[in-house]
Amino acid sequence: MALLEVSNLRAGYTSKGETFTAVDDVSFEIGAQETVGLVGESGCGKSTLGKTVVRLLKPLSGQIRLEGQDIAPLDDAGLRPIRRKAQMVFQDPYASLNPRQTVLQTLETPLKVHGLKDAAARRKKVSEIADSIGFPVSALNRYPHEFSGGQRQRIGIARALILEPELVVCDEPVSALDLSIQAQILNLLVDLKRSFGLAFLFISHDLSVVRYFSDRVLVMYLGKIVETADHATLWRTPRHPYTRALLASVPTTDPERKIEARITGEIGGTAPAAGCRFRARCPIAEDRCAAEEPPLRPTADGASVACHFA
Amino acid sequence: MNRQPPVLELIDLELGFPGAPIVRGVDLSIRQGEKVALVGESGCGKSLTAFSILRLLPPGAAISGGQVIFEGVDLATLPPRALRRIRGKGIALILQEPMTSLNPVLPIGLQVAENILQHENITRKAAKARVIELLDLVGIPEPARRYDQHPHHFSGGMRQRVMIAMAIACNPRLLIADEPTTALDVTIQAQVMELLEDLCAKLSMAMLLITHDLGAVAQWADRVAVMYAGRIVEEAPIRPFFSVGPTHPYSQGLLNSSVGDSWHYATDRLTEIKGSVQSAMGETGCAFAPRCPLADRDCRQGPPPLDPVQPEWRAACYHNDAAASAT
Repeated sequence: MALLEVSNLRAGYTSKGETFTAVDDVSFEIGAQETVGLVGESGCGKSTLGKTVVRLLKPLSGQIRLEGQDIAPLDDAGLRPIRRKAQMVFQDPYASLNPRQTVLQTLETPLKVHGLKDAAARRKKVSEIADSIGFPVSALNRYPHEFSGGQRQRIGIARALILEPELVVCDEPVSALDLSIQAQILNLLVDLKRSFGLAFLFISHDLSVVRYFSDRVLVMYLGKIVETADHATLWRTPRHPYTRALLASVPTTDPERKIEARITGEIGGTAPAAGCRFRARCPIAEDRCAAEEPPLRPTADGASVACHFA
Repeated sequence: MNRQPPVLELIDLELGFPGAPIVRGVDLSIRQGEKVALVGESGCGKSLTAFSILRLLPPGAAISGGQVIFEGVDLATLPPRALRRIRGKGIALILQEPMTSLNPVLPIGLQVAENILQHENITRKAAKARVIELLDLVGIPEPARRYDQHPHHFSGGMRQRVMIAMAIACNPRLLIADEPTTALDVTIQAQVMELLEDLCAKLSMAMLLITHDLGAVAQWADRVAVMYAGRIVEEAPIRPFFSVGPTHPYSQGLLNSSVGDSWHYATDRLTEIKGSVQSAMGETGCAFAPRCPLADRDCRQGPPPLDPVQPEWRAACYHNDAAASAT
């Protein structure tokens, strides 16, 4: 049994009676201590998927099995004991911390919510986690505005880890940070991954960062998973035309390797009614692609791809 | 090698708030048709430096020293009326957020036309025809129909193309592009940067590209200038900067911080630059010394000058020789 099993998940947003399905029939697994990366461009549904997995959003349909238990239909009371198992690190280090709470209060809150009544025991746990993110005790009584973006992100990470979860969902955790700070935070996450034995769902639009941090990668396009593979295979032999175009568009720091914009056009707002969602921009699309939506099929080497021609 | 005369020269530029300079001692030349990337992290002064060329500074900030020479004229001291004739015409600007740069209540065609009508004595009809040509040039399909559409009918990448059309409308000699693709998806980034590269060649237009993305620099710039704590610390042609490697320890640290091809956490650790740029405050010697692996007593004597390391390549480090041989 995998740590996380997502089956036929549909998630989205409803307003004025109309539903926009951002995640459409998505299935995947994350094993214990495994890091799964999730890439895609704007509008692909990756953030929605991340938030739904930790139940910040209620899915439209489908199952989310965390350690065997389906958390998709649970209400707030039912979710309370589950929440310590799956936590989230957010993108914006400036918006994700309560500006009126000290670091100590921010880190203590999850412990209080989950019933740790003894203040001394809480204090001890906070000191331990602060130490693991490289924060001195003196920092605990300060407010978020006294810290830089990178330091605030460390506080967010500490808050996510203080309950010792099994799974951490990171939604663009380093995108808002400067390059040299990104390196510090990524190194910290790698160290914590090892010492806490964590599984991750690592969401990012930055392909190099995802490649670096993940064991396996899922590629999303307009609400669907179009390809999955382990980190090395995806980059060495991408199969889906979208994955190929995506990887080919990433500028490298090698001026001899000139990249070329491989696909034209942009992601349309809504998915077409039938057929493959990528066909409008796909260089190898044929009639069949308009009529028949390609299923996500497993390949010989443990990967999977949703394309009639891959 | 580009031997054209400079379109723009920043000479010993200093700017900031009264008593608190933010950018100091900046010397930079941009030649005709050349694409120069200005890179650095938050707070290094790259955007401020670029905006100061057109004197688009936040309230209270001003150019406190040096010159900004454009076509023989010092823009730093030009009367506002004369400066207005250059903004949008001789020198144009595109910004980071295409979502918010356009007026949401006006059709885009009108907004692009406005720039032309400001600077040139032509009829509205002729301006409209020119705008449709420009929209076509920047790759907007059905330009005549889309002329009348409002910004919300366009995606992010398309809006950025409209901004580019607006910027090149009067054939500027220099385009300042402040993080033009940071807010766009990577596949769209490739399209937009290729468009800019193409336009620079077609229109013999120089570009000052402000960015933090070293990959973008390697792909689309001819030269790079690295800024740290308000000063240029290294300036080099692209190929050697990336293939042989940078000379200045900060540039090296920056390049090592960006994830290399095929790196993976199981086998590779990212190199960190210890500490943060806050350590530069109040530092009378080299601003990078508190974080530098090569720092010694000599580094406290004062900010190091930008010295030539090779032809067309300068670095501001007292250990230029040691650093060069370490790469």
